[in-house]
Amino acid sequence: MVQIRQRILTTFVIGLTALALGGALAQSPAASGRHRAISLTSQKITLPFSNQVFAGGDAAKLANSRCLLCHSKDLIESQPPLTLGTWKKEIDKMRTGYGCPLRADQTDGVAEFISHAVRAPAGGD
Amino acid sequence: MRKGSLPGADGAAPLPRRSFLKMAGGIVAGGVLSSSLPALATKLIQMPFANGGRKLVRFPQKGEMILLRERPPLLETPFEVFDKGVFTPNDRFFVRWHLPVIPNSIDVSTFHLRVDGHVRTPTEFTLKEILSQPGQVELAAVNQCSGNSRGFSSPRVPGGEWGNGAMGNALWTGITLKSLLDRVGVLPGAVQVRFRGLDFGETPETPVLMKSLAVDHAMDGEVMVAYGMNGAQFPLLNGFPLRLVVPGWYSTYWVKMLSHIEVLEQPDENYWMRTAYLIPDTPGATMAPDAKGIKMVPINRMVPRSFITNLRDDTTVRRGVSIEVRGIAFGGDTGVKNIAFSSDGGASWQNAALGKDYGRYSFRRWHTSFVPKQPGTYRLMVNATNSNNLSQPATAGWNPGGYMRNVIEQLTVHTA
Repeated sequence: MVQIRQRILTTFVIGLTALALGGALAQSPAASGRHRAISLTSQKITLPFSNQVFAGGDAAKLANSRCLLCHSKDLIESQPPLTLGTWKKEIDKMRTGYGCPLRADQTDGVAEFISHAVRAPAGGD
Repeated sequence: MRKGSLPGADGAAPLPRRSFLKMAGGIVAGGVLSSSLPALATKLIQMPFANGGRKLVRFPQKGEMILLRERPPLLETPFEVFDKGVFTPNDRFFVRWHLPVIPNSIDVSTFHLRVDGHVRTPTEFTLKEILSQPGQVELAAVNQCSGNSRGFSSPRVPGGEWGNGAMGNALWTGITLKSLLDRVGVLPGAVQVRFRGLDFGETPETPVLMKSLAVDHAMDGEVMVAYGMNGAQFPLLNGFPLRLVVPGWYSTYWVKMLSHIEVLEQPDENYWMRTAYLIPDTPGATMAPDAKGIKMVPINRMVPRSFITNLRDDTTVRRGVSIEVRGIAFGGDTGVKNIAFSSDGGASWQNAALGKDYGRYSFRRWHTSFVPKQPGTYRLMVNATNSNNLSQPATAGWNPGGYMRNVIEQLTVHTA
């Protein structure tokens, strides 16, 4: 497996190695019928890499370097309106559950920054 | 793959080097860098809940999808796709990854699936072996995210804010898990079988996604190691080259890019079984938002759902003529027995006609009609009952994960 990470979205490339298989048409009790022959071809794609970041001072930098380490900013922006307490719990879950490299005493600052940065449009619930 | 780490510039906890450098670039630019995606985003849509603005995008090997998260990808199927057929096309099938480091390349000549643990003969299977050994099967089954429809939770809960499109139905081709486990020989005392794929996190502390099934479930002859989806190989983002198929169970168990199967002598205590994807152990997996001390258990079997696919909410229809109503349904962990339709907000119900049966785990198409005789507003509702006589609830349940939503769906039409 090649695990190359590229950051520019381009078209994907189909590899050259093909695994053809023929003929295996056995039937088992769970089958809904004779299974169709499928051939597998090596694949290579290039995934997009979001470089959307928060603008601002030290809190933005912390959010950019920690929150956006593992996921893009759109995940944060698509959250429903959450209380500051819920943001703190979510960020603490990222820190203790998912290995976010954030110190415990940085949680509140990041939560406060994000809860202000992410606001529901008027008329939201 | 993992590289050394260095302290963050602010003296915080260490950060992996490559990621720090990557983010430093973004910070230097002061937040004005544009994403790689807007160039591809042709349309914007609004999901019917707060913060529901979404882009429609095209990822590699995928058609137009609703973007929920760019990295790691969360792509939702636009709902109109479900009106087009009983099977969801591969390029429109929803995509959900947990961890950001996803192989972008798979070589079918070198890929192996390792099966080991509490077994007699730990074995690495090549793809050629998996495609040719006895135990080949084909099965239609719905694959639905545990958190499908989370955006409709009330009160709202954090997470992936899906509409109703984190589901799909496909004809899966593969080899039964039982036949692979029989080949390696499960030893007495085995309790669970654990599955993992090739994706992993940015930090060594990020728990690798692993999910487990009871041995009896794994050996039931229905759980499948699939290499085919609707007659073709998987799109890479849907788990190429192998994906676990667990008919009737939520998608969290359908491990993508499946690379390792491990037979366990002890119950799996890993994060993804013990902490994540838990539901209240209550009827309908529902609880009061302020309830404390509720016993939580790993999510498991799906429950029935049904949808109208040919009419949108707030549609205008002609008075006095027959209006066709059609849609899809699934029974959850068993087949659809009945679809009831109401055009008067649930005051009266009529049975819809069921479409072709592709097996008890598949979507089932249904159709019916009604005539709006009087001018006004008609509240259309649809309720699936499965062959265990389980129907959809009239009011939505709630749980903190936003899982297992299956309330009776409804929409309003008005006469012209």
